[in-house]
Amino acid sequence: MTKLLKFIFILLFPVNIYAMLNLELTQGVDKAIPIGLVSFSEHNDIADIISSDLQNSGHFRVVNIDAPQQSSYRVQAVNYAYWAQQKIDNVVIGNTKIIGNKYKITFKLLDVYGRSVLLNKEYTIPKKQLRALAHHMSDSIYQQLTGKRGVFSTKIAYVLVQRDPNKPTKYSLIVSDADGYNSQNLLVSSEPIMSPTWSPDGKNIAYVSFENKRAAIYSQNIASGERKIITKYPGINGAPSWSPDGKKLAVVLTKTSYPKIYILDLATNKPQQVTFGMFSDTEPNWSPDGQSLIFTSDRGGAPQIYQLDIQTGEVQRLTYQGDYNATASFTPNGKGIVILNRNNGMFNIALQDLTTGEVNILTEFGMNESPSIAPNGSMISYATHYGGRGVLSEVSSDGKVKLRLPSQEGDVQEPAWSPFLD
Amino acid sequence: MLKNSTYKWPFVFALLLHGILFSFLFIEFITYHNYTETNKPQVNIIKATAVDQAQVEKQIADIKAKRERKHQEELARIHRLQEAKLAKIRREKALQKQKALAKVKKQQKLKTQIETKRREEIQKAMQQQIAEEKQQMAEHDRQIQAEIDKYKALIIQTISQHWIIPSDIAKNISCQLIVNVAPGGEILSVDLARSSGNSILDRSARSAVLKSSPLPVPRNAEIFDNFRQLMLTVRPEGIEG
Amino acid sequence: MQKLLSSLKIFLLGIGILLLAACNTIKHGTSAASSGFGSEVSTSGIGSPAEFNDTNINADRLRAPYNQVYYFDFDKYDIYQGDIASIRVQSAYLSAHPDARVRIEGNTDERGSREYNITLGWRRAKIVAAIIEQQGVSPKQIVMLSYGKEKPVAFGHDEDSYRLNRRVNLIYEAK
Repeated sequence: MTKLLKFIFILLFPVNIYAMLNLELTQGVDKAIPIGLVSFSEHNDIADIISSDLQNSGHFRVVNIDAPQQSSYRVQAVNYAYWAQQKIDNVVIGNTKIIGNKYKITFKLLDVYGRSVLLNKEYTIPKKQLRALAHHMSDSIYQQLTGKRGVFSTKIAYVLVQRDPNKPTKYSLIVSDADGYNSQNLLVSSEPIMSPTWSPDGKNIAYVSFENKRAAIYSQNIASGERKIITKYPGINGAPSWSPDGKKLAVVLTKTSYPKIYILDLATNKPQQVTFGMFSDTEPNWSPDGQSLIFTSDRGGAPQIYQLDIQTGEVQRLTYQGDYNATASFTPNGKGIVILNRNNGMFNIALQDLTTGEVNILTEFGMNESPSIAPNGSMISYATHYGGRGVLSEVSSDGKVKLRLPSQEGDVQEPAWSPFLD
Repeated sequence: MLKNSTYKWPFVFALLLHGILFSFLFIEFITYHNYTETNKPQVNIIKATAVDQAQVEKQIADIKAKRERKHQEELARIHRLQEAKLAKIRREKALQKQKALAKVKKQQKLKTQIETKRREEIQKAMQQQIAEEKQQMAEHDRQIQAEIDKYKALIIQTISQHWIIPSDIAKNISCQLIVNVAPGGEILSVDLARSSGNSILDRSARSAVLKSSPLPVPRNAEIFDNFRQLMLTVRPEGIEG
Repeated sequence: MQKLLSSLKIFLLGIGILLLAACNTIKHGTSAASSGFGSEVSTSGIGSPAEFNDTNINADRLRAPYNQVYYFDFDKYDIYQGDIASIRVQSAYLSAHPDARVRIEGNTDERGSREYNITLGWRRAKIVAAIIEQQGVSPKQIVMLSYGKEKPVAFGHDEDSYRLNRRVNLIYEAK
């Protein structure tokens, strides 16, 4: 009888009272992180710049606040409960003070649910650096909350073509901030400019210029504007691409009467032929480890992307989707390539995963070209048409965020995203 | 001898017999004499011979001895008879005893059989009862488990809707959080038991949990006890909707 | 293509007529004669009857040294028969004038990668250059260049514009 009672007792009550219940969470949502941005006193430009930066990245949903509750900058006064109620995960609170002819900027990044201060920074700068500082702060916030480096302080080089029926066409090579502001001319010419490309240290840009009715490759120092001729062979001098160590330039020459790829040692300026055959090879781009080149070739008929192992000379085809693939470049982690892909007559920007072979088409409408990926791999800028003009657009590498940069007088083409500059 | 009551009567009987035999001994002597006197009519001239007193006494002694012998033999015979009878009685008694014992044993065996059977029946009845109770408790358990499972799913769904998975996270990493819950679902604390190695992922999981307060929990106090402390393993596998 | 050639013919015909008219005008001119009374009188005759130029309407195509345009079909790298004759005329001139030099510029329509189009324009320029060299002209007199799609002459996103852009320009750098 006692035995039975014991048995029943054990069945009714668990052995450990308040044992931990195990749960597993594997699915989430793909949403932008809500971030509150409290204005930095009267000097709103900084908050505006940070707001645009974060919002345009697609990772954040910026809530601009003029909240009187938060006008006090002291952390003790921060009302975490208020932000939690608004379902806002993070808050940026800043303060600006003018000291003489300088600005003293302080800001804090708060984790609302963790009730902690993630960033607490202070800067003293001249007024003209305000914009650059705002981008720098965006970078800090972005990195703290996503774990990735921000590209808000990077630059984009591009070609602007201004046609006028009464005047000769004007071609300009321009460098601007990643958000399109602060554009500066590097070169203005009456002949075409093509294929701008950044050196890995961000100090020089190489490009093709048709000045003097001949194609030649130039390298220009961005700070000083000084430039020198890299190659000027008869025929094609095209598609320059800097090696990751900055010591070599891959180029296209027609020394053999067919467009072939050469690697030029910048110290000696001697080109070494690396692709061979009676067909066209062009658009070389280096792998992040510097061991291979991907390029466009019509050795198989229509243009496709191939990979050359520089050591062994072995060439392998990479693209099989669509009937035309060109303008390939590696993603910064080397695991994928960004390409111009044509399918059913439509030219779109695509991302191909080199491990799975999966091709993800990122753009639509089919009038796109010249993709260039940001150094953190998150965004791809490219050229497209809008309103009868050539404009620059951006798409995130997962295809979800789309942006169009404000159009200018003329056609904008061939964007080239700079490396990290800080 | 008198101890064993079964010998009491045979002994008396024996004594009587001895008494009778002794008396026969004496009466016979006298009767012999009487017999001989009465049988005088038929007097035969018997040649009288000089009878030696000694010889006569010897003859008497012989006859006595003979009679004694006979008597003894008779006694012995009777004794033997008695003994046989006794033995027979003894055997019978023993047999009876055996039979009685056997009978008792059989009775006992039967008794035990009945008892065993009874015990078995009782056990069976008890087992059935236990089985039924077990079934009932299992059913009860199933219901409780179903309730627990339902709320587990609700909790996961709620947290999932608040969890913004960071982009570009490596596959197959996970973190573990210990969540303390008050009755009604209010989250008392969230602690990182094991980091995924990626602080951004850890923080996103923690925020998701905190954002989900109060969690949907059972109203039944007993069932809610299972939910006071949750061990949440967070492993990004996909995007929901 | 036919439509284009016929309008070209008419255009050239028109130019031809104008040139002839100019010639006629020049022949006759005006002469100013002075009279005894000091006033300037200019007399002019009525000119001779009009003469018609009965030469082939593709006059300049077959004349050297005149800059030329040769058109190409999409994805094709062959020269039209009519163009071959023109090329031969230019080649003959070049052979006869060793100091003359031509720049052969290859162009494409606007579709596709810019640098890959440079290679397509190159292919077109090469074909024309090959024909010229075949005629015995020294390579030193030929400069090949590809503009790819960088120098369009038509700006629509349609087949008509594409057709006008798929061309090789033969330009005399030195005559």
